[in-house]
Amino acid sequence: MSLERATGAIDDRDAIRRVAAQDGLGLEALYDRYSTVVYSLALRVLRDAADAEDVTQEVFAQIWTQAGRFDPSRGVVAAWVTVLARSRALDRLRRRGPASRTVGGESALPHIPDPSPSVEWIAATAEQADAAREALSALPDEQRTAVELAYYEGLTQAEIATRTSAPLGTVKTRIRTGVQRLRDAVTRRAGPRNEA
Amino acid sequence: MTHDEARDAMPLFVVDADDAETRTALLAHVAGCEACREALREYETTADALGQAVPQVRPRPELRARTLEAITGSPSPAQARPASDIHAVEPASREASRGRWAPWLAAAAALVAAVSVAGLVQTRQELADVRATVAIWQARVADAERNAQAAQTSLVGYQRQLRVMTADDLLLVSLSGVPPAASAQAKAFVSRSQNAILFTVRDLPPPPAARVYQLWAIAGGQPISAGTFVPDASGRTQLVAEVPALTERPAALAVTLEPEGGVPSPTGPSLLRARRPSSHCDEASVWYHREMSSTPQSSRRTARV
Repeated sequence: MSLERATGAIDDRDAIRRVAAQDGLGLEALYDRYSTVVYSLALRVLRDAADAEDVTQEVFAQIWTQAGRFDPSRGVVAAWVTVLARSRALDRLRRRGPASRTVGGESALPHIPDPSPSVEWIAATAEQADAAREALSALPDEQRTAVELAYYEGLTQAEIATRTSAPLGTVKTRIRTGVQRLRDAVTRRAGPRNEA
Repeated sequence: MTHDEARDAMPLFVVDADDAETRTALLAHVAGCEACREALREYETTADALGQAVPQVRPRPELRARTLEAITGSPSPAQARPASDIHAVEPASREASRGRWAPWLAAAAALVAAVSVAGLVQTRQELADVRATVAIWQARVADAERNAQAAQTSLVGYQRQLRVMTADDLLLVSLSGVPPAASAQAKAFVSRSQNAILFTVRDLPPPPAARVYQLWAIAGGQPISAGTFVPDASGRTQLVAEVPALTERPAALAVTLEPEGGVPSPTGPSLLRARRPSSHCDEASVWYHREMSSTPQSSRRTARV
């Protein structure tokens, strides 16, 4: 916890500026705040701790090179980091080839469940994440499966149709309805938001 | 596309489960419709919330130092610095360098827009990849401007790169590695009118002694050499290949392992390949070289960022 408290003195906007100026302290601050988010999403997609660690490194390397053109006023850093994490994790999943996609094996490395995500991150996104998690588990099974295969496994609509033995039109309707419900839950929970 | 059709397309778009035709129509619609852009932002927030909705697992503590050192090239303190240090560290060149490369930023932004309009960008993810590539060139432009002595010569090169990347007939091709370079990923920006290929690769293992990698464009059934290269210590290379012989749209790109100095036509195993470069990036496919299939070595984890 001491790590979060110390680099927590640097807010997201300042951290991005520092990284853009190639100041390692900015990267430390972003790592302390978002490494759990990045690693957790990579682990969900890849179900392998070593691969999730590689993806975490790739994402922060990308942040290091791209922070200069990221404008914190136009999108929260958490969202940007999440998009990067998903992209790099799906890249790696696709590189493994189709055979390994269905594997849901337990990781060889021990996980340390995180009982206390950083304060900054809670403030920024935890409400929406909670809403999405609850709404996802409340979806009918076939909608939830379709959304999960698209978002977490990067399957196309045609691949989802094949995987779930459902007509393409049905798959589209399931994803559309499922994501609409998630949006309703996420925007309701977020409430009126202050634009920075 | 009508507003209703756009709203129907958004939920599939934000989880990358739409088709290319719908996506193109949706992007064209939201470009001119503020209300639908706002609706799309809500869906994007939703998709991001999905990414953050997974069980939160803290990575192993060792990963912190490994990652930070690998990226910044200098040891990071195992313990966080005291708060007073944080305030003492002031990035000196930050304000000075800001603004001077604004024209380059604008050019790069226009480039991303041009690529989008041309329909080459197929998904949010691929758009992010294009932006990543642009960001790398931008960073190099910024570096060059900081270094006054190198700037003059470097800028000529960067101007050439931007000319290639803003060519009307630009093709974006993704290449994937095959064993023993299975983790390698490359992007090529090909312009026939500029007779040039802008090529970036990462996670490519070092070549064996006295060997180099050679980039090829296959056009008219003939391989055309686009030069040789050796990746840096982190497995990366970025180059602009001037290819006067590139007079028609290539049917494929490939990277092979060849003797030092290169060869007139490929003799070695193909380690990176994309077939049928086209406006559809996702058509790029992995090409598996039979000779390599028996290679026991796995280099998947040798190239670290």
